[in-house]
Amino acid sequence: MIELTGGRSLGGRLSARLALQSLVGLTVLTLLVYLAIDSHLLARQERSLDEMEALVVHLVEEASTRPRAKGLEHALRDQFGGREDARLELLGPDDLPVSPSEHAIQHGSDEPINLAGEHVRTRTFVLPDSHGSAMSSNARLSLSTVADDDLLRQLAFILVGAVVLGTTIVSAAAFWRVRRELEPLERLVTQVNALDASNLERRIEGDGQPSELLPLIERFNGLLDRLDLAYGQMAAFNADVAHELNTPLATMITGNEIASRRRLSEEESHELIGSNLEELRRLGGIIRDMLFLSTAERGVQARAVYVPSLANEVCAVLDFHEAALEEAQLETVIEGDAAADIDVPLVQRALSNLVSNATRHATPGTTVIVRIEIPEPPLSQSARTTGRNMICLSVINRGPTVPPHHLMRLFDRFYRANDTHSVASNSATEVEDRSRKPTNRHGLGLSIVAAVARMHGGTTVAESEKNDTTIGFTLPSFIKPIDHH
Amino acid sequence: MNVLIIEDELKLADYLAEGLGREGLSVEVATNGLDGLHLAMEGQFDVIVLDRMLPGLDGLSLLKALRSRRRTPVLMLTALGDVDDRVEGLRTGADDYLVKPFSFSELVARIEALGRRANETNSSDNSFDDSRLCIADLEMDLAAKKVSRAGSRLDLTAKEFRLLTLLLRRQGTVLSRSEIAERVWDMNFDGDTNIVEVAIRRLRVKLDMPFERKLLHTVRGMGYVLEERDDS
Repeated sequence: MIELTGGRSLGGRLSARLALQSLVGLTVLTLLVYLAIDSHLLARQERSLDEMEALVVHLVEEASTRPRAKGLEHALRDQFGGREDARLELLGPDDLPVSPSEHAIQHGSDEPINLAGEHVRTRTFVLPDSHGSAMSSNARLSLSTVADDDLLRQLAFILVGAVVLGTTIVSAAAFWRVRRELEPLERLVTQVNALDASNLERRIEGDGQPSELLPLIERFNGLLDRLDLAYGQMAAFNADVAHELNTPLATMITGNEIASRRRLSEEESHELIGSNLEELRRLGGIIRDMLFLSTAERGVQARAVYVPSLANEVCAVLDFHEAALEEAQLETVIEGDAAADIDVPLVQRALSNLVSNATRHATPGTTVIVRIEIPEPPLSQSARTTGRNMICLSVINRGPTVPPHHLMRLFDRFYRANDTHSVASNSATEVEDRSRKPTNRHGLGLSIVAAVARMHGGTTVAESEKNDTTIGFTLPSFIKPIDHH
Repeated sequence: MNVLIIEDELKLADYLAEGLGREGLSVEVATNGLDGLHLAMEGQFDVIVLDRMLPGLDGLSLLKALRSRRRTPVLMLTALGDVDDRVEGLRTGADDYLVKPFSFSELVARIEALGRRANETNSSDNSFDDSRLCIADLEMDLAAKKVSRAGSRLDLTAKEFRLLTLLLRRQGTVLSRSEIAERVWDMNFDGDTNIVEVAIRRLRVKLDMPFERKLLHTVRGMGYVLEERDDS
């Protein structure tokens, strides 16, 4: 089992992300609020100073048109004397206050506003020179900002509090939400955990799962379907293998046991040894074919060589089958031809199995057709993508139509359409006839055809209708040497 | 002919030694790679039968070591039937390759072929390629492609003629179905050779049916032989 590392909890990560996001978001928001209010207050203070400056200038000008110095001072005192937050100082030419007792116009409180403090805005400006006296040419306005600064400080406290509280609430809610949303995923994990080889027929339930997970569940169930099928096939296959191997073993064990109970004549012992050899050969044949199939299954590719005429190869195989075909009263015809890159012994073997199969199922007196054709358009997806045409090599016989459910399983190992596990025995006039088995000895013939097709990158073909049964396979056609490089 | 068998499976080695001895070959056996290599280097053998998987020194390494000094023909035995294994064995310098389980008659045939190939220079075995072959009252004229038995002409197809030629040339020897398929039809695939049975049956109808004395015999579990038998 592969140990998976590095994966952090999706829920934890999501919660943390959401918490961080809300913290950042709220911080930015409150900072904006704070800065906006700060600048607003600043502007208000400036405006207030502007107004006061205009007022002072106005009063000074008014005093100069009706020159009464006392009047000016009085007027100024009227304006500024009652204010707790502002003060006006008239400055001498050296910018020092002209005697605070006389000219510091302020509220008559004992505690003067702390001018040196931080919470003060001051503005110095030139007084209109028109009132005649040169006793003060500049004025300094001080505005206390204590109230505004207090407001800002309080605001800051409130905002920080709001950020902390908001973040906490959002995080907690997110954590809870994420937990809730991930619950189906946990259910999924529980369901998957419950799966093993003994209950491959179970499927993952998609009810209540979020739509994002549905494709995953569908795929997973599809995978389970295939796994279930393959597993079932494998189990059945093992049973078949055991059966196929057990049959000759049983024959041999019984034969030898019975023989060992008495003295055998020379002829009898020869007979026994011969029978043993036959069964052993059968075992050997099954094992050899199984090894071949497993090699093909491992993905070993055929060693293809260029063959200019497939029809020639077909002809050689039909030659080999000549006697058997004649005995079954069958004629043969080869249709079409093509050049191909093939592994000759493998294709011969596949074709030989197809011809054997056709011989067994054809109605006597009919013709078996071996057809070599290049289908248009190309058959398979791979042919279209590689631009390589496929050749279809098929054997067609007239005989009982094969029902579709048999047709589907024809290339399965140990599958026999008629399910005749019994050994066919005809007349016992000749020695061979007693040991005669179906030519497709152990139901591996057509699976070998499929394996050969796979080793060439081809597939199998099976059709049956109106008493015509076509079984064959596809092969890649020959590519011109120019295309090779 | 001297044959060295290098095989670690004792039972098989014993059987091979006995069987080849009965075929008139003188046999020595080594049951591990090192002994085998020593014997192969020092002795004078016409053919070496070498198992691919051996304790001590495996077959391929032994073959490599041997080929650095000697050209003795080697027939490799293996339980691995992959084409790749076969190619690797042949590339290393094996002269022939036989996959377990094999038929003993095939092993004998291949050993003899290897021995013949090695001694081709000093033998004029071509007398055997006479244009006339015969057994009992059966006569074959290879040049005219005619076969007759007890004076009456047999009408054979081309393949039946080739089949009978093979049986006649190797008369007295049991031929396995796969060997017949290979020699007569040039079918080199492992697999269904039951088809040979039908061909033999049809040949037998023409060859033996009309006559009292049967010449073509089935050896159960092994193959077919053309010979004169006193009984039957």
